[in-house]
Amino acid sequence: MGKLGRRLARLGAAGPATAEPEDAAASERKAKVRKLRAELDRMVAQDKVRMAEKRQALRMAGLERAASTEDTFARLLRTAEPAPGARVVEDHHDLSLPGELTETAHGEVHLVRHHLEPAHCHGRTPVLRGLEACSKLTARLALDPSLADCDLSRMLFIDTETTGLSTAAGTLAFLVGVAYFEDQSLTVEQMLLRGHHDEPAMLRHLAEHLGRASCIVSYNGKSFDWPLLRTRFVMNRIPAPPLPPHLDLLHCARRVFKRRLGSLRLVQMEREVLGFTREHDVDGSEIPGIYLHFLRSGRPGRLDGVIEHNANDLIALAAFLGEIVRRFEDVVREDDPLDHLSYAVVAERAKDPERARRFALAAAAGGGDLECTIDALLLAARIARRAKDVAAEYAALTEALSHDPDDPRIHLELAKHHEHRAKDLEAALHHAKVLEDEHRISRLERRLDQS
Amino acid sequence: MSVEARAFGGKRRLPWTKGRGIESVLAGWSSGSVGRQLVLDETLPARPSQAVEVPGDLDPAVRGALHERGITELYTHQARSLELARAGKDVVIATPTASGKSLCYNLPVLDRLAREPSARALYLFPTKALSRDQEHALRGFLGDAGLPHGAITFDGDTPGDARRAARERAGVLLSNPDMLHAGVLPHHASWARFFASLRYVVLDELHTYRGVFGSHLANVMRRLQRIARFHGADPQFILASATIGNPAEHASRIVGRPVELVGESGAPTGERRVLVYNPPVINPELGVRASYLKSAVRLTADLVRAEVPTLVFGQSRNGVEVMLKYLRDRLAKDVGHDAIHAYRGGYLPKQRRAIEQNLRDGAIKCVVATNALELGIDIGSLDAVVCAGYPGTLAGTWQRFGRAGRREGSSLSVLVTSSAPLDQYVASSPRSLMSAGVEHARIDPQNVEILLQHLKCAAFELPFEEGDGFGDVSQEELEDALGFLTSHHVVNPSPGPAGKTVWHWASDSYPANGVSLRAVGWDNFVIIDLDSDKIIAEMDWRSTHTMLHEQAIYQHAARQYQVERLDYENHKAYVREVKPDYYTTAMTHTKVTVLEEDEAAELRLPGATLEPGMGDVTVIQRVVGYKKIKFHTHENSGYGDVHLPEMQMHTTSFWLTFPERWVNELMAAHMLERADVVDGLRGILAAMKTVAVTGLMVDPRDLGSTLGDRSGDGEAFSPRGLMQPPPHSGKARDGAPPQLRSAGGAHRGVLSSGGGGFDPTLFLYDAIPGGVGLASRLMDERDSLLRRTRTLIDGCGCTSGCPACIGPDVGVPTGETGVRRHGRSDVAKKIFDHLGVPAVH
Repeated sequence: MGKLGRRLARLGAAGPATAEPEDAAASERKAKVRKLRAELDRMVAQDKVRMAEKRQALRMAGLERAASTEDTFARLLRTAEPAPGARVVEDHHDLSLPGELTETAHGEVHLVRHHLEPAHCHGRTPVLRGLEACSKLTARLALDPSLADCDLSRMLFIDTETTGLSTAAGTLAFLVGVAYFEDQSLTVEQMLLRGHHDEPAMLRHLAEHLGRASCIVSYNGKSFDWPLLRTRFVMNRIPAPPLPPHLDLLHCARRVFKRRLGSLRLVQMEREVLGFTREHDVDGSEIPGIYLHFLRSGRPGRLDGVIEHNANDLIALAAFLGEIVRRFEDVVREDDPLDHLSYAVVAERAKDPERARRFALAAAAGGGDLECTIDALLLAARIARRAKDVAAEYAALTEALSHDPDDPRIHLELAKHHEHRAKDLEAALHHAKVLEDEHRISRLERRLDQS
Repeated sequence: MSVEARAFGGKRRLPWTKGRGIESVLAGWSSGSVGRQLVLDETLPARPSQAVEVPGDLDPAVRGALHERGITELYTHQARSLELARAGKDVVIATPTASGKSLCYNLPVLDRLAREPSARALYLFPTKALSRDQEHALRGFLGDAGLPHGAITFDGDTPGDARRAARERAGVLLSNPDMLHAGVLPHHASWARFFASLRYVVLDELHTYRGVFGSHLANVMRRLQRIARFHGADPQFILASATIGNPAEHASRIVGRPVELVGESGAPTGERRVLVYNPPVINPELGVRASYLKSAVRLTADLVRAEVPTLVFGQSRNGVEVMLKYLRDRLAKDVGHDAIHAYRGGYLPKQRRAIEQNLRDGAIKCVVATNALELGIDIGSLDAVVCAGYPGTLAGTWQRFGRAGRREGSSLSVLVTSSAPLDQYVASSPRSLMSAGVEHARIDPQNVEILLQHLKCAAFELPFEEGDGFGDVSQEELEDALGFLTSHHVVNPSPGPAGKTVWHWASDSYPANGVSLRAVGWDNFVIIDLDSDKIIAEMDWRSTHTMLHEQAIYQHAARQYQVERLDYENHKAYVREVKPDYYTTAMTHTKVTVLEEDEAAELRLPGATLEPGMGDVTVIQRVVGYKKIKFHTHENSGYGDVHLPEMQMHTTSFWLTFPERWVNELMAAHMLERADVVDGLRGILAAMKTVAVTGLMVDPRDLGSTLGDRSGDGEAFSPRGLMQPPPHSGKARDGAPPQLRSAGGAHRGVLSSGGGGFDPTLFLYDAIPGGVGLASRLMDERDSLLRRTRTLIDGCGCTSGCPACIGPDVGVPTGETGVRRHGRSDVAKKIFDHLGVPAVH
């Protein structure tokens, strides 16, 4: 399998990945080659500014490096599975892992860092769009006023890879990925635990990132990543830093895309919303096993795939934030009417009636199925009623009725409209009779008699 | 007034007024036919109150709350436990039922909360119902003391937002061991503040934590103490137990350190009359006695008519419902329908609360219950207890008896014995009820399998560091165990600070989910009334097979419902109310089949070579059909088939096979029939189980025993064994009153006539799914097991068998001739002589 740097370079550019069949006989030789490439690729993904120089330097130093990596690899191959009770190899920072052991203020942390070019696209979506998200609009979409005054240029995307699905004490967040915009470029920084002993330094390093951030952006982080990280802080007796406002994009995705897409997994959003399809992605269910194997044997196995998976999640988060907010700015005609309806509902809940009205009308006119159209028109009518726009309410309801003359919800709304707003008791009575609403009928008849 | 007029100053008996109170009922009984059937009539004298003043240094707020409740002095045991707790000791209070035990722990806890507002306490109860009950009482107490702390129940029914409140605001958290084990300890980081301030852990109903369940609990306590230490706390323990033989020892084993005993109650008790009623023989030829259920109903009716508030205990749900129906029928003219109520586990919490309330108000005069009340739910004062059937243990009997009795005046406790062997044994030596020591509670926290399961949970919760211990597991043992877990890729050693090795959890699983503290699952079936579409009750999975099979008559609050459909997958039973003249009782069938022999050996004795072994077995329990039993006459009025999945349990078993050749020799040498040998072996099995249970320190319910055949065809020759209560006898007895179980049914003859080869085999198996290593211990100890069994039988003071040794001799004619020639005890001794088993002394 190719290495991270190369894959990152490929991100956004659709196209088939090179298939590399696992051949047991040739694997050793291939692995050596991969090792060398990995090293090269890692450098490629390093600091963009210095990339050209690096490449030059590497080409020159290539042969020496190859020799040393080969030695490392041969040694590794000789290390069988540890005997029962055996101690783990203490030191595997120089294995074929991307990234490097970095001396931080709190001790050594294995960091994998990349800077994406400003023009980088995730699928068809520019990652930079995340930086363009307006905080006011984002706050409305998230139904969280605390985000409205956030300086989104200092937001921190966060995603963890863990050894389990619970947030209880025995689950380890062995890879904590963060990403943030620096100038016009997204920086991805992943902190990998070589073992449990790295955790305190990693958490302190993470705390610094959290301390600098204006808000954090996650996908399901409110119920998973953050509770888990908080547990890790407690377990290591390190005070958990106060959490800045937290934008959990899963909640936004649920509001906007649940109606249309059903599934809300991030890869689903990537495919449907960002136009990005992952290739050779590590299946989430395999991740704990891959890491635990590494922990026990010291051999990275497919850990590079996990690191790539995590990097992809972070980049997708940035692009997805940009895209989901951009589509909320104004009606995008090409979008699905179901999405328009969903945005309308969010806008109404966020007390943004004008936007809600625009999206509701777009949903009604979008040529969606009957249910969508009626729901959109009923919503438009409700918005108009709240705005005391009697004519608009009537227009929306009559249009709804023209789509489905039998829907009792429409008749009920019309009955109320005529009785309370248009003051047309006869018309109200007509709809009440359609509804067979005895209580309403008798009241209307009594009022008609009186008048 | 003249001398003549004063000569007969006594009270005139008036035929038109009915007698009131216990004395009048007893007078009526002793002069009538009841008196003749009383095999025990003893009076326990009243005991005066021993009280002291409320200690002056008790926090004024708590004093105020006591004052508010009219408590001006404390019983000596309450004062003593307060004193010990405040001196920093762990305390166990073992005083009789209704002696005011909860105050013993509430006082020190409230006193601490008042002095240290940030302090926290954890109360654990074995059932959800009990914690809800205590929550209610405790809130009142906290309120009276003006303490702002909440008392919040945290269990599987606690909704999400309340869970957060429980974590953050509960001064006293009420929960159960299962929730602590799977829901709190693994998430202790979210409970950091709670654990850091944890000052007291209260364990009520300590006597219920025995055997395997108790061994699990002791390990949960080790984990709890470990977590508390991590957060900087070292809570004290206050434990409360009903009467058991060894409260201090048991408490110390649960907590893992010495515990002070408060065993002398200072609460006054009135005089208590204890009677044992053995129903009369109505068919001398067959030795059949009158129904114990109907006898109990008759005695209860006399009491209720005399306006004596009475509590009736049945042995099973069916028994309770049958008695309820009979009582209501019999007393229809005397008291209202609603004055007699059932109370049992299957009732929904709201129904139970309503019953408890009505009892306190006096609207209910008589309650018929299973053992639900044994667990200390406060139902106020009752004057009489009638126990229909012997509860199986002395401790259980006294716990039930203890439910009656005011602090002043006299009370009555009646045991009505059934025709089951154990009951008849009690009836034949009723004095043992008064004099024999009550049973000990035994646990074995070092049981390897249980310990390993909890070590996994503990490693998940907090890494182990070189030099750590775990309760009284030593450092060396612990390192060995961690090495074992490492080789199974469950934990992973890595270098920690200061050069010490640290073992971290290294698996993606959540180990607590794989460990159930109790053998019986909690996932209930719900029972839905098709007419109202409402849930009327819930029932545990195991009882479902015998109580809710299709066509079964399900009885609930004296109404009968027929089960129309059992949705086995979705755990739902659909019933419709009917008015049948019968109820149903299921016939079950248990069989042990060896799946894989892990270990086989030869046990050479002077007279024979026996074949002990151990390995994996399936214990299959199946409901094969049901009988229709007519109300009142208890005639058998029909049968039906039941098609339900088998209840299968994979577990481990120890077995001991007697080769056929040897059995034939034995029969020839002693002129025995096979039936005699089978009965004798059954006796040996009973004694062997007693020895095993004692040696393994488990509860009798944790170890199953069956006499079968090594080839697995158990039913060919021991149908009686198969029809006996299965491992969880308490549960299985819910299915059918014992006397009905043995009547009629699928008897296939004690020996099938074909009589081909059979190698009788004694099976002793772990009655816990998956096994907990009891069988392998027995295999290791097989010599001692056999010799101690002989010693037990030889040394028992009984004449022909009792529950303490080979089990009561039933005296039922056996064998092809139908004539009983050899007593069980004789045969058992002959078998041992023939084997040449030496006794140990």
